[in-house]
Amino acid sequence: MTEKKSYSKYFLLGTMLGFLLSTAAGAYITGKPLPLSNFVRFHEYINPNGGFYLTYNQMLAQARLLLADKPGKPLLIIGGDSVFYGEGQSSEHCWTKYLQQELGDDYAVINLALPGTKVFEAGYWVYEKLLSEGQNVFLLTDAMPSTVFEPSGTTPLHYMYFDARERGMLLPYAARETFSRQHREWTLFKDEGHQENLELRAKLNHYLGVEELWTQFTYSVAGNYFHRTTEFRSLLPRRLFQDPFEDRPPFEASDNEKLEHGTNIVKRFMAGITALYEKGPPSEYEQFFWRRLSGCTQASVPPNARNNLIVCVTAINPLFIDELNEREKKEYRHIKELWLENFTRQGFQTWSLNDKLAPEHYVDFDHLSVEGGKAMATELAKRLKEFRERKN
Amino acid sequence: MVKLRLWALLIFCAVFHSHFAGAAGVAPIAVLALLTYVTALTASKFKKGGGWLCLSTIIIVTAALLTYKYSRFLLLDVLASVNKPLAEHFAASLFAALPATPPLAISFFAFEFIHYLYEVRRGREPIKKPQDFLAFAIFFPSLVAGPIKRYQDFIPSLYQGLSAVSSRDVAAGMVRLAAGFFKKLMIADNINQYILEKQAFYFAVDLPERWLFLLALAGRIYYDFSGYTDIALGLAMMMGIKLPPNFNGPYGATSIRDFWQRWHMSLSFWIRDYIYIPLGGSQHGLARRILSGILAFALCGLWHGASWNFLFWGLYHGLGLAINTVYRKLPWLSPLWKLYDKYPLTARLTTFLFVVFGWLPFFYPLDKAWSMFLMLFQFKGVSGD
Repeated sequence: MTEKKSYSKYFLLGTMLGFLLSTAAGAYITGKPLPLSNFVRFHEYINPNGGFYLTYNQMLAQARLLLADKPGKPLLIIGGDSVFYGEGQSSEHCWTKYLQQELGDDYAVINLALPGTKVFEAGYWVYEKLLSEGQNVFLLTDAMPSTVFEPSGTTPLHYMYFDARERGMLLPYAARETFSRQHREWTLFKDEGHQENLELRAKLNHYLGVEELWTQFTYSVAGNYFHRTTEFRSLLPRRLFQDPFEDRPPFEASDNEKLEHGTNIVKRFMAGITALYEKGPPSEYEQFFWRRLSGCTQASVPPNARNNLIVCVTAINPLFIDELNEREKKEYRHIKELWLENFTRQGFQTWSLNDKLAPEHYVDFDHLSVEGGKAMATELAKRLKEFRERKN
Repeated sequence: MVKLRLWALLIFCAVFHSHFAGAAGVAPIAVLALLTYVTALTASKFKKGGGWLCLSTIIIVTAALLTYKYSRFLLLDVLASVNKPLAEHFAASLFAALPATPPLAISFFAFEFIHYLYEVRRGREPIKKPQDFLAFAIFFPSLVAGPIKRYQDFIPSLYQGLSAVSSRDVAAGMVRLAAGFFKKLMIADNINQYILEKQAFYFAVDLPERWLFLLALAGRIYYDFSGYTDIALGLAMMMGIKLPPNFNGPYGATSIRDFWQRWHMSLSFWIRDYIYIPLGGSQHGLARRILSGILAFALCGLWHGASWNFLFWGLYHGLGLAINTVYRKLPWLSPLWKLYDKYPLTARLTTFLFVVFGWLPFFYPLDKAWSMFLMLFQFKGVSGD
């Protein structure tokens, strides 16, 4: 009886070769942008909110693509949250398109804002890298006077910070590096295992290019994960999905349910921090809140990266402010002033934005309609021109 | 070389165990392992009395398992239902001394130690070298989710792997490992995403989607668990070591008995050998056989977790097995088993439905599971309003 020939050695050799080829492909693809056509923003199906965990490099590559496309133009990166992302407007009528029109050749505008992210995340990390390379780059980011954040980013973008850091894309800044260890009482990520996992994930991506390859694969070839936004289409490649956002109608003042809901959000937020300004000794929590905001702002951005950075503190729909009583209105204004002061004190160009917008410019309590977006673009274009003149 | 490999493996296993279990998880297992090893060695030297020694340690291991894993259930659910003040009195003193979660994989450790002591008590040779026993106890591929090993198979296989590993073993192990990761990460985790997303709307969706949800539950547990098993088997195979299989196409079973020959086999064979047979097995008449089966499955249910729904799930399968045992003896059911014999697919379908209905009380509290079950036969969904 003859022994059956074994191909196992060839199999092992093939496996090793396959592994090497995959990592080589990952390394090759690193730094390549996603093959997006007519990029407006990283819409719902190609950002982490839609279960697509684009890498830091892919975001950076998108910005580089525009830089290469418009050589010599200063790059204006739009960072921040859903207000600057353009929630409420379709891709076609996204406010950043109007901003580009208004600015003309003065700037090349790219929208790297993402819903749910905070003031110094995603677009900010891209800005920091390009600034360190000596590129002519500016960041325009927004903050609602309510959101807490921290230097390593918040969900769902936390992984991207470690991705950028691991690759040495961020400026050296000890306060940021040691933040989570030094401020255990402030960090949003108490679970050390979570951070360790993200660091390991970033290392694997750095050395093996696994996520670079995988995201390109899921964009171009086939999806891999069931997600609530894509449901049974989750196995389809993301290139087939269009930006799902449509132009939303202005907020109906008669929609009492939504009005009450939004007002409650404002009240709930204020209830958390306003006690600080009432008579008597402030409670520990509220003092803690302001110290935390200041500490997080300080640790998020190295001092040498603050010059070209503009923070806009955006207003909310005046209809919701009208629902507050006089005391609450006063408190809201006071909090907003303190929020502005926080960024100004730390050397950021800080603008209070959308203060003159009318209720019909909003689709809900904070997001803008197409008209609202246009009004914001006009206001920002004017301010940016002044800003540039002042700088020159 | 064999010695060197063994120690390298042991160091890796110890690092793996201590990393994932922490000091609080390692300490009780180390004590139980030492006790088990010493007991078996000592017992084997006594011709008389050795059995009692093994039995005493089996009781200690069982008590440790009950204390760590089941004390909350036994006190707060079982005892509290008959005497709440007494339960609270015991709970106050006991829970202060216990860790918040039981030591990692204590059920697997306990079942392997009990098996070992039981076999030594029956006259099998114990493991002589402490390093061999340590390898049996903390072999890292099977540490977290099994399969439950038998030492008389494991030790020879361990030495076979330590002495020589062929490229064929490595290649086959890699394929199995990859299959395991694929099952776990690509299939089970994806189905799990679907379940997490849909379970809140179970009562509101249409009938076909409710059935789809039920199938998703069945798919998730199978691909998750068999994926883990493949990872364990594949890793061991890459070291030239064979672990017992755990799954063999369980959803294709033609009866409940057949299902338990194919599902989590290392557990069901353990239950058979160390609970069902010692309780009398099939040697003492039909009534005792059925009772032993139900009791064994009740314990099997509780092994999965300390709560009423796992107990119910175990009893449900025990009852299924009892019906399986008697239905061919009942003349009025002859059309049914004749149908099964003529068309085996109908037997497979009946078994499959019985098993998948059982996943409802496995995953959900009993009242919710019952409502979910009833909704499988109701066309319209229930409005959330």
